[in-house]
Amino acid sequence: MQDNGTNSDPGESGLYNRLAVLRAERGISRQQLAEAVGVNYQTIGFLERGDYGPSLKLAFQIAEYFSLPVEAIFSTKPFTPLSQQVYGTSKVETAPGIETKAEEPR
Amino acid sequence: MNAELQLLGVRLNFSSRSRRRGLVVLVYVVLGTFFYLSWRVDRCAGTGIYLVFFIQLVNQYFFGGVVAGGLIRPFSKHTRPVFLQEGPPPQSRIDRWFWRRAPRMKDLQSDERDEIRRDRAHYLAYKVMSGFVAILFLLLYFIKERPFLGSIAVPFDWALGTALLAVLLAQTLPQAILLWTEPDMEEERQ
Repeated sequence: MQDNGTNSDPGESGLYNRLAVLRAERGISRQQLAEAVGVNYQTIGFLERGDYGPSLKLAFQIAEYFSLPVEAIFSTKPFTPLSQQVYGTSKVETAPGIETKAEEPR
Repeated sequence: MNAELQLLGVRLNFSSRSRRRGLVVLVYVVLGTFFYLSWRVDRCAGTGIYLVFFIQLVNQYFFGGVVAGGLIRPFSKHTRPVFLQEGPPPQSRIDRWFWRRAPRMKDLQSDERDEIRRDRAHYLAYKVMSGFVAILFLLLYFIKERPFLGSIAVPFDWALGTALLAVLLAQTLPQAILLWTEPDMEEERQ
């Protein structure tokens, strides 16, 4: 698990997800989330670890529960750490070999 | 699959894969010992029937997958045990005793992941079972009472023993595969 709360290894499912960070952010237990989306709490653990890829229905149910688009929770590519998204900088090439850092809009 | 096995009111933690594998080995060692004893006593002819019932009991209370009890939730979605923890606690002391020990319906229901793993385990078990049925057919084909080829004559006991082993595997193998292959589970619901 990365420090941003997303799984750094997609595991068997091949999917990266932000379930752990979203749960922690909102103070929701696995049991609460499991009951809300109609699965067993172990399944939430397997989802977080990337051991299981959810069905389309379950992915949408989870997205609805968090009021977020599905792609904000599950992705086939690694997520950018939230800290980098909010406070990060991107490298802008101004001239060959010369780099300056420009702040991204918040 | 449940992380805990409730046995005679005692909760045993089986969230780790190594513990579940230990249970599978233990159950098969016990069943294998009883099979060996049955074979030694009367070549499974008389004691075999008791072994069939014993297999069902062990399967239900340790492995599960049947009604309630065991580590694996019922395979069928339509399973409904006689005693369920529903509604408020009953007034009667006896009823309350049963109510406290009864499972809750939501703990018995498989979710989509359980069903996928169940189907996979049954597919693997089916492949093993089909091999066993083929061996059983061959044994019956060459049985001593009706020898097909003069030189090959299999005693009937062998066919009976193989059939009993097939019953053992048919009852327990999907559950054993599930318990063996399931990764470590989350111990806490937090």
